[in-house]
Amino acid sequence: MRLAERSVLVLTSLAGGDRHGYALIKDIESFSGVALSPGTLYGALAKLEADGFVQRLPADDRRYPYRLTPAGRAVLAERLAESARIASLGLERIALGGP
Amino acid sequence: MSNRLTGAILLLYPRRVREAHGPEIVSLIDDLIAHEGRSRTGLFIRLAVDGLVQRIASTATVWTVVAVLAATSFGDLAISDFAAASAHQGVPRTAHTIAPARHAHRTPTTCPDGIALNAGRLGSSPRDSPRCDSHRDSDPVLRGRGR
Repeated sequence: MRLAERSVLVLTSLAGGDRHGYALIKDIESFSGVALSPGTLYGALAKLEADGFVQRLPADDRRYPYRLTPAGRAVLAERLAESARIASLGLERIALGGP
Repeated sequence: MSNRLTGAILLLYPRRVREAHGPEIVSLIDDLIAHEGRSRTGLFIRLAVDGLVQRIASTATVWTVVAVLAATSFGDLAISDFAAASAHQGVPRTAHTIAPARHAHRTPTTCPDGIALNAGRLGSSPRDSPRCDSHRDSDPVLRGRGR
């Protein structure tokens, strides 16, 4: 399954622990420099929840924290390994001094 | 003031998003307002644009589906019309234009050798039903030899 870039960011943030909307936006902004809008964030969360990759926890003062599921952890690991392989290959080719 | 603005911004989002995540978005907007020390006007504008973008994207998806369905239906109608027009103009019928035989169980009207069936005589006896005459029966020479 091919994950969208924003989904990878959300899953990566949730891999560090349960977070609600604002905490997710701030965390993602801190490690990637991408400021997700509320619509984009909740669009991604709705899709990930429907796919069974994240789970919405009971509300905590109007804020719903989200948790990474085992399936979400597995799909994130697979996607990041693929990204790492491509990054490694790209860096190798750059180091070789291609055209 | 900010509550009314938050409510107004929320209304810009598609209904599907509001129903699924309305309270979460309101609380997120409240958090952004509380923690963003910079211009609130800029923040409200960004949120309003986000809501409009989500709404347009949602509407565009619906219209895309409608357009595809309409185009597909139109295409089917055009093909049907073309097939009907071709049938009237005596275009040779190909396998895909011939309707499947719905009455395949009917008694054949010709014999295997191409000779027309004898009509048979009117009556209820099985001997009166249409039948194939063999070459021996229909050919006077062969018929004479058999006897």
